[in-house]
Amino acid sequence: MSSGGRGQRVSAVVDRVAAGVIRAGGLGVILALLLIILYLLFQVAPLFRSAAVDPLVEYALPAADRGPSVYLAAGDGADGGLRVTASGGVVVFSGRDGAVRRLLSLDLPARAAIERVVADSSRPGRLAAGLSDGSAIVFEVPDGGAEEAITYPLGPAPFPLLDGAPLRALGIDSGDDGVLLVGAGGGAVAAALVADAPRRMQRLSWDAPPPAAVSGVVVVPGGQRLMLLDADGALHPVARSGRRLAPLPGGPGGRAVTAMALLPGGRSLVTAWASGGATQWQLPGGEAAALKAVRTFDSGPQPLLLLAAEQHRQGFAAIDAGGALWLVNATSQHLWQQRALAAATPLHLALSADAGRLLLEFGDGRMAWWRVANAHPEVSWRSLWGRVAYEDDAQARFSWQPAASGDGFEPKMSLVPLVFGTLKAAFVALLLALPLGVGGAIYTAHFMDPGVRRYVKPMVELMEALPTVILGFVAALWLAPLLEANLLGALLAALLWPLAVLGAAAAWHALPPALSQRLPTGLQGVLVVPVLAAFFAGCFRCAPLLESTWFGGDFTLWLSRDLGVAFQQRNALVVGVALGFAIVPSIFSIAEDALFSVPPHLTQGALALGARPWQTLVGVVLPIASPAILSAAMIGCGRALGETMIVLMASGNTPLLDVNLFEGLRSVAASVAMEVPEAELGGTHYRVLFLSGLVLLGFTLLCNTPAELLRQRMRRRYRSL
Amino acid sequence: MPRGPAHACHRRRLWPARLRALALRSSCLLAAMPVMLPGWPGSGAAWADAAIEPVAAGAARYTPVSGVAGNLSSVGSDTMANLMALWSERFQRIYPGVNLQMQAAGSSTAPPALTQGTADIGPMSRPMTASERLAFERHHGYPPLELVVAVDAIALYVNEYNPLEGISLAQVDAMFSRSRRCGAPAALHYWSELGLSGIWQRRPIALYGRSSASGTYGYFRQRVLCGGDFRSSLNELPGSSSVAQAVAASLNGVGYAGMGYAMAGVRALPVRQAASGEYVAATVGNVQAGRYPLTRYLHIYLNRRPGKALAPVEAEFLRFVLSSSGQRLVVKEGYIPLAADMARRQLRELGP
Repeated sequence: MSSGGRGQRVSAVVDRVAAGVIRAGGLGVILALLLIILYLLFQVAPLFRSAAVDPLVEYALPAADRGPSVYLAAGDGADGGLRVTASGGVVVFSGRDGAVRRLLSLDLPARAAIERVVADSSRPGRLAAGLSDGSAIVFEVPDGGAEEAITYPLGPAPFPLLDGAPLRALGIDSGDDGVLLVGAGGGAVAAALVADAPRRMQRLSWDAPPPAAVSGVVVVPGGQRLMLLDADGALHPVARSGRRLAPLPGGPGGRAVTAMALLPGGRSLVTAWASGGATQWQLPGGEAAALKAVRTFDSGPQPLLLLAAEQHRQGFAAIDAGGALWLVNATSQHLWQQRALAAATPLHLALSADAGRLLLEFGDGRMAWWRVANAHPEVSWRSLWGRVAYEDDAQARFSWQPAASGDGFEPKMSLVPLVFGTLKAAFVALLLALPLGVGGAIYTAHFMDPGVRRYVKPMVELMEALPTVILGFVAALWLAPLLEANLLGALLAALLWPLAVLGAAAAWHALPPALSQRLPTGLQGVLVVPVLAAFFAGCFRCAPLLESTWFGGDFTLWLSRDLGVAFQQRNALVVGVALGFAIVPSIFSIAEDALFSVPPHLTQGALALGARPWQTLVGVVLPIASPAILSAAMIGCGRALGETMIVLMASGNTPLLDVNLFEGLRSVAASVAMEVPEAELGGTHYRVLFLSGLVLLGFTLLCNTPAELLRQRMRRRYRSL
Repeated sequence: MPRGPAHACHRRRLWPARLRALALRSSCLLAAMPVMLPGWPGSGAAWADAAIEPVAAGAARYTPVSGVAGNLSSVGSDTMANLMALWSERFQRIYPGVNLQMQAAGSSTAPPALTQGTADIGPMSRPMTASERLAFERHHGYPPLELVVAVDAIALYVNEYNPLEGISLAQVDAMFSRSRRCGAPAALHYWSELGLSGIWQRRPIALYGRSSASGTYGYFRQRVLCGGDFRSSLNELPGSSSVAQAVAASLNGVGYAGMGYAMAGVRALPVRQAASGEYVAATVGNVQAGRYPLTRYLHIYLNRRPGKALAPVEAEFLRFVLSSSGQRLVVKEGYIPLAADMARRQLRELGP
């Protein structure tokens, strides 16, 4: 009796320990899932954080005795700034306290003062100064030690552009054939090309008279296009070919322009209106001549007086007449405002290259540094989910092209093509896998001979062991070309196989009993296999004949040419077949186990009461096993949504929004797999990829939760049985 | 990290070159045995190396040093994957204590890896962009060390049954891009628009290319599309060899990949820069003469703190790559070696 008692105590302890371990395991799974979701949210949250601007330091103008600045530039991080004064002084000062690091002087001709300084966007560090006697000087301020002097890459002699009239507007671009200098002032516009070796200046001639009263000049990087702004606010594009300049039809005028800035990449120009707000213009490229206004930014009634474009993003900072700072991103059309940055309007605004520092110079001899935290301005709800008109686009569209291994690129981060592609692949895969998996499970569990079942079930479950990389590889390299070459045969086989099976069944029934009874009952089902194989082979064999008779010899060409249905070799059908093949074993094993484990007394009772096998299946077995079948479908759906390798290799990764089964697709999982290694850690692209993962998780939860609730309800209903 | 598909899709193109080399060597051995007379035309070894010797002439020989051992990790270009594998294999033969780990998912994976310190060397088939350089500088405080190690050309591959004679770069832009920034008047969708007829009448063009992680993609975008965007219908494949594979399997396909990825079933289209003139074929001779318009340098980026020397493993690996033995492997792989003075300049930049 005592050993029985001890045995009971031991088993009680084991029971408690097991219960505890299982409970801990279950809680651990839930905890892990919550942690994953939290981590995703943590990575994604900064995307939606608003910009923040903090004042850093303020001090008096460095080397104030040289006068106020005509040009101001800000460095990144701890670097300081650079200012150029009208008397030709170049002051490099420290960012922390305004101490003068270097004080240099430009070689100006006698009695000439600097009217305007512009930076060359094609050659960082190169500046051009327009003088009051109508000439221009090109110089570079080196980053080096204190002993380095200003260099003149084209020589210290100024280039005479205008005859005596002060150069009010200036543009410079360093290209392969020389440095292009464009100057305007006193009603005249002149341009010259300065070649380097041998050094000579060639004036450019105008095919038609240039606009008068030009107040602003912008040279598009590349030197083939100029933009002239006149006092009326009209923009005049000018095309250059060699040494000739040809004005093109301009943009509408009528409103005065207060400031102008070229966005990185050289394809867009932003002009700020005196009546408030700004417009982004698409600069003409190639053969296109007309200027197009693509976006407007509504910054209120106060005009934007100073514009500073960012260097690595399509955005700009601006100060309006009320002293407010605006941070604008062109892609997402997102405007962020900081009220009352300054009491008085600053004279100059400079943005550092990494857009992290803002430098302001005021008329009363003060300078202020502000820190800008604006990490992800190009992401907004609209840029993620709505149609956006990007640069070079005729109309707004959904596009996924977030990185391009190059500078000056506008990232296109709309999640719509990815989500659509994922759903499309999952839909086709489930369309194939659910009927096959559930149907196969029903037959195997309910109708199949136990002897045959002993072989068939493990074989199907062995399919699950195939690595999906191999499936994707085979689909891309073997299935896709095969399908393209035999599309008609495949479609015929896919549409007509039920007829073949029914026909074979009818023929079997028509056989005399002497023949049909020869075969053991269980093996009757196996006969379908050679019938189907013969049918498929027949379809494939007959297809070329049909193709040449009706479809002009090439079915895929007929589809795209005559029916207008585009055909790609790597398309959703190939992906669906491969993905379906990968999902079928999971659905099959769960459903089959559930169907097989329906209590036999129920099925036997039904059969005993006179129900036919089919009625037993539909009326008794399926309802009892339905929770598990639903759960099998959920698992299949989750797997189809998240499968990476098959889609990455077989789909062509084309971010298209097309319902056409014969076009490619791009799924979230494949995008993440391809792009996370190249995305900068903590950058916008990186976080948007995490956001797409979160969206995928959301979809899976959305799809699984109602199914799970339904499953629970059905389980409760049939538990009593 | 998509190491799986990149390596799964990698066809080792070494086998044609290696078979050829093997055949050459065995035939040379057989020929050399009875014919040891100097001056006999075709006496084996001299003939086999004659093709390579002028290339390596002037490049410094590599002299092994002692004390080189450890791990060397490389993350970067898929175009240079086979080349890096050849170099690392030879390097490991010289220094058995070195263990080189390679990941080749695309050039754009190199800058983040170098910045974060997860890689020692970053091979890239395009130069680093300003923002990548900025990210590196912001993290480390100094710019990365950039070395040029070989010359490569991008070829435009079409199916072997495609009879097109040649193509101009503006036409390539019109085929591949959405924005046509290079100035082509209209988009090209069908092979018949390029002048083909018969079965090519209104046959749509199927585009194959690389993903945005690739330096080949970046170079093609800058050079051929003039900075424009690719069409959404471009099939993005993980590796250059899979681009060639896909074009071989698709009659109406066209794709771009490095010159060395040619295989049976594709042919490289001769290209011309302007709308008229001679088409230039993608051959080593044309690339070396500067006639082929789509040539580029292959780079390797390193993290070297100014004032400090590189780790011996890294320094010796780069010295090996820039030596005559390393450049000979470049030729073996189907790329073009550096000119001798360029190699010397790179060695000088590497430091003492």
